[in-house]
Amino acid sequence: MASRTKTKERRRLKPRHQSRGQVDTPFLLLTILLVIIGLVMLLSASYPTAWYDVQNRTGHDPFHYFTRQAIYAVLGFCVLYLVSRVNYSGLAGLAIPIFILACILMLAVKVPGLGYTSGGATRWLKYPVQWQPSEVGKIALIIYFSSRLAKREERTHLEFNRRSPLGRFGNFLERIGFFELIPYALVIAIMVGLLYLEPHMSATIQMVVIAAAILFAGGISVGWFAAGGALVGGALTILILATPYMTSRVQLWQNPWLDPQGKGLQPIQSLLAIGSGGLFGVGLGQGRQKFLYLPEPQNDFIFAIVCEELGLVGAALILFLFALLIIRGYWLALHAKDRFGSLMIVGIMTLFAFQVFANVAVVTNLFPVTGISMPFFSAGGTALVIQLAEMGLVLAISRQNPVT
Amino acid sequence: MALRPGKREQNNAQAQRISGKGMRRILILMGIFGVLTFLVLFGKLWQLQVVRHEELERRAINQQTREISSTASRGTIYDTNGAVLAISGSVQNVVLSPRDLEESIKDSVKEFDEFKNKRSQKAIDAETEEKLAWAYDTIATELSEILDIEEEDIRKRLTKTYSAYEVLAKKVEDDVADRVRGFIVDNDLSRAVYLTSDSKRYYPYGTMAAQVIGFTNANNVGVYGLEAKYNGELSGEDGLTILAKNARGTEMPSAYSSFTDAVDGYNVQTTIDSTIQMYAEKAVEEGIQKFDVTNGGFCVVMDPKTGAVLAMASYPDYDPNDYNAIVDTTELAKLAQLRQSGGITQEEYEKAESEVQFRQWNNKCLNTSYEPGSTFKPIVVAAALEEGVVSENSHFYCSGAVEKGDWIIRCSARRGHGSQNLRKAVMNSCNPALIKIGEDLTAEKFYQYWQDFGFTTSTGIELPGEAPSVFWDENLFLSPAGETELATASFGQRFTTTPIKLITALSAVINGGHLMEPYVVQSVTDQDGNVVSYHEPTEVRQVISQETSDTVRSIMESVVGERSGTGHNAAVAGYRIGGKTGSSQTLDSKDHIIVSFLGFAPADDPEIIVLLAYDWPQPVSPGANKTADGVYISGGSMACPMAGELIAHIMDYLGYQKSGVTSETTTGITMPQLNGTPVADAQAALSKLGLNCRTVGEGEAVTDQAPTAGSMVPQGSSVVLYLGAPRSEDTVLVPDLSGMNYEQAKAALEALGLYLNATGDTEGTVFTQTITPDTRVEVGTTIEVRFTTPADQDTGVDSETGNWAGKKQEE
Repeated sequence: MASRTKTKERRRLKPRHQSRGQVDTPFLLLTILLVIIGLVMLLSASYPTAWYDVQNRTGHDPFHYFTRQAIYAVLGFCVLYLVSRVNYSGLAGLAIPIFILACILMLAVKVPGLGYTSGGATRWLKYPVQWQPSEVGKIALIIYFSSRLAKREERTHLEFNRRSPLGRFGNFLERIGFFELIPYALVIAIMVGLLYLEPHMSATIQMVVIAAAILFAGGISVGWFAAGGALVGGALTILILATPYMTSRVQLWQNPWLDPQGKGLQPIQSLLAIGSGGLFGVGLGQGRQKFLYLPEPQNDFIFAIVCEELGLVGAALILFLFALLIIRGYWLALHAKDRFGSLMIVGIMTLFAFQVFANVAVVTNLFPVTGISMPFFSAGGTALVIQLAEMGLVLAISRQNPVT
Repeated sequence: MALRPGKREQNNAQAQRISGKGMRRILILMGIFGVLTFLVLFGKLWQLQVVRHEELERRAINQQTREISSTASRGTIYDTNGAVLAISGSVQNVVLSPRDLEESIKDSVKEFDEFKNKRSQKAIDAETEEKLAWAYDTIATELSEILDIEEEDIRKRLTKTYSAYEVLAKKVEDDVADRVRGFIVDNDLSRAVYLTSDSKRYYPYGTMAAQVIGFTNANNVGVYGLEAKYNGELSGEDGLTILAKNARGTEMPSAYSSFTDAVDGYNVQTTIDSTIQMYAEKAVEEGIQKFDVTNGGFCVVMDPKTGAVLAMASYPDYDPNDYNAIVDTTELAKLAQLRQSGGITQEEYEKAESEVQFRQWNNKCLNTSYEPGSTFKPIVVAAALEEGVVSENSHFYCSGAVEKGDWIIRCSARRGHGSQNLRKAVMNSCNPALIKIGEDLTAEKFYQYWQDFGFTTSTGIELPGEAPSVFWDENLFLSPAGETELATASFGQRFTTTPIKLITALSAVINGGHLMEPYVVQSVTDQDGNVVSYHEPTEVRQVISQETSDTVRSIMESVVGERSGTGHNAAVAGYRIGGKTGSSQTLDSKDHIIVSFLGFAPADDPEIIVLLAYDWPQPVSPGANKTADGVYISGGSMACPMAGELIAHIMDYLGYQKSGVTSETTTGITMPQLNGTPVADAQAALSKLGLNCRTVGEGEAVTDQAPTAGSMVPQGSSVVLYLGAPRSEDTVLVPDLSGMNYEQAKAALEALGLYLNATGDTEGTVFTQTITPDTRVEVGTTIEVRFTTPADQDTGVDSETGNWAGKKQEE
């Protein structure tokens, strides 16, 4: 009986329906389904590269990438399960420590011996396995923004002296929400600054997108987004027109055949793969572009192989599953117990959706090449684990959704 | 109790839940990221996978597959006896890839460097430079030597480092290819220099029947003659192996791999007989030399019963093995002069050169039409006989000229032939008589026979580019205004037709009236010998009756056979030859005369029909009627003897027995084989044959003889029998017999210990001798000499030469 009393005590602290509710089944099933499809496609896309092993990375083992990815998938689901058990409310209090931790980790890549450099960018930490701390940075950003915005109502409005012009200006700024945005802007600035040091363009874009999405859902005035959008757009235009490097990149994006053996190689080979897939594809495993034509078909460009092998029908079906998952995610956000949960889901799902969109857009040459991998599909164990952890967080929130 | 905390929590949650505004905004995000973006992606995928599917797939397949074509071997062209006229052999092209050379050297330096210590980029560059220079030197010096091309040319190509395909030499033979292979292996240049297989056409007989066979261009496509006409059959189908290759060039699995075997081309058996073709070409070429002919000539030999073409010679000719080279020496001289004279651009020179090339590729036997002249007369006679408007007994009066409309048309015999029957009129080739016959026939009937004899349609021969006849408009010809046209047409002037049409029509005249379809291809067979198609003799129509044909054939035999016939110079003792001469004036120049002869043998049952012509023998001076050698410019003096000789050669070759020898002086005696026989027996045998003999040596039996057994010697000749003594090694120079009569020639030869074998009209003078003057021969050799009657204008042997027509007003 005594032990029962103790359990009752705990139950009182964590009410039953908060932590013991069911995770959202459609969301979980869609996640599992997509991870499995992703694994199958990874095997198909990666075995020629792994077998030929031109870069001496796989020891001619055709299952090299698949085996690793499968192990990480299992690990990822364990993480997903554990995260889904967590009472996410506690994360609100940890927002600032998590953010500081993320900043330290992102700085650590610059420490010789810890960081790993590839292609002129230092984005990876070597320990315990090679991974990108910017992934943690994204989560830290989501948690910080969500927690702060969730308490938005509690914020005391600043009052300035209405008599002085400065004070009236201050009041004006307060009214349009300028002062409220300063902490967010600071956090984004720190993140962007750290990513600039690596450098890591695609992560920067992702940071900005998720920040904007959370701020938007959190109720920040639309005018700020218009102003921010205009600012970013204008800056990009100047950047493209003013720097020859960017100009040439845009030209190459519009016509990759300008440099078919160099920078145009990957987009061209990707287009050829997608185009030759046609309506029904050449058949699972029957793709030919993965035979050393399309560079690194197991990474960012895996979806080109999906399109080649499964055709428009197969690719559209997979995209439809992604869309369902994303819509279900936002649906869960709408039904979350509190604003904090809602906003976190918005952040996670927007990040996820943006990755899918940007990846396919790059693969189809709708966007110029940026290094955004395909969630659940591209080879990369830690990325998969982190993605599944994020899904776990969504599920954790879904557990506490009030019964509707 | 259980509900209370729950309710409180719920309230709390309600308070913290996302606001209505937030919900709307999440819905907007859901719309953007859950629907809109996916619609955009789907649209893009649709564009790539449906709209641009074919284009991108083609590009993808292009890079994923390697096509290896295996060349089908081109079929062989044979003559009627199976001699090879055209055959293909495999050769190699030598290809250089400056791009791969540069890359391979860069790669090797880099690879080497990875094993060794890391050096500076500068050092690597220097080494690459050095190795490249070495490779360039090696390739330029050694390959220029092997392939016999300019070193500079190779160096120039080596600088094209963007290029992976520079053909250094085309169609090299095995021995050169082997040396190139050795060079590649020795210097480890397999990425830079390689061989690709190709095929080359060989024409073993060179210029022989060049215009009939035609030739293939550098891409192995037939462009002239049978090579062009039968290109589809000969070329077969190339095989194609499509291999799917990964980006490194090794094989990968793919549904696009396919293997198609090459199907070799069919063989073509022609009706051309190499031996007869050789005789025909020799007749054309010799005549051109002899008579100072400037525009070449042609000769067609056909089987009149079937239409099978046995030979077809056209001059100037060319060597299909090197079809651009100009063979004809006079044309070459003209070009050289043109170049030396200066004042012309390179372009103009090349134009002149290509005109000469076109002329030599042209088959005069069917690609160009000419005025047939008197050789056309038998057709008019046959038509008139068939229509019953004349008979063998009809008489024609020739005063030497006849008035037609505004024109006076003269006969070659200016004094006139007087009264003559039909046979005589044809033998005389009398224009006024033929004009009368044409009038009696009427223009309507004339035109109908013109059509029936096949002059208005293509003969159907399997050679490209048959030219049409150029005749007057039907309405003009049939109208009263066409009187002059009918008159000139009656003796074969002022219209043109092709030699093949003429010989086909004349075959119908002499073969019983059957117009046959001429053909040069007997059969087409596949590589296993199965017959794909076989040409059976095809009769187009019967034009005249057997009786008419027999009559005309007999008249034509008289033209040659009888001493007063215009074609008598074609007579060869022992053969019944019929024919008709022709000397046609052309409109372009008064001097431009085409002399020709159409002949056939045996006259009672023709097996061969020959049409031989020389285009424009040069007169000694403008307006003169003789050549520099004093040969009278006419069909009877030029084409006739050449054709007679040619017919005799062909008949000999075809194995016809000589019969009905007409002239006793040409009776040759065949030397018997006497070796080993006792002296007395040999002497007896010789005297029995009507030959005298002397002996050399003391032996009992004959050990050698001169002339050798089988040689023809005239009756009464003196032969030598060797009795153990070695045969005389004496040699003499053959004398020039030209201009001598029979007796003089015999005496001249016997004085040197040579023997005369006379052919032709021995009452005439020497026309040809088989062994050219100043050739050194053994004593006892038999020289065959052909005699012809000199034809001169006053005797009117041939009719058409000279200005046969003049305006009445000008007279």
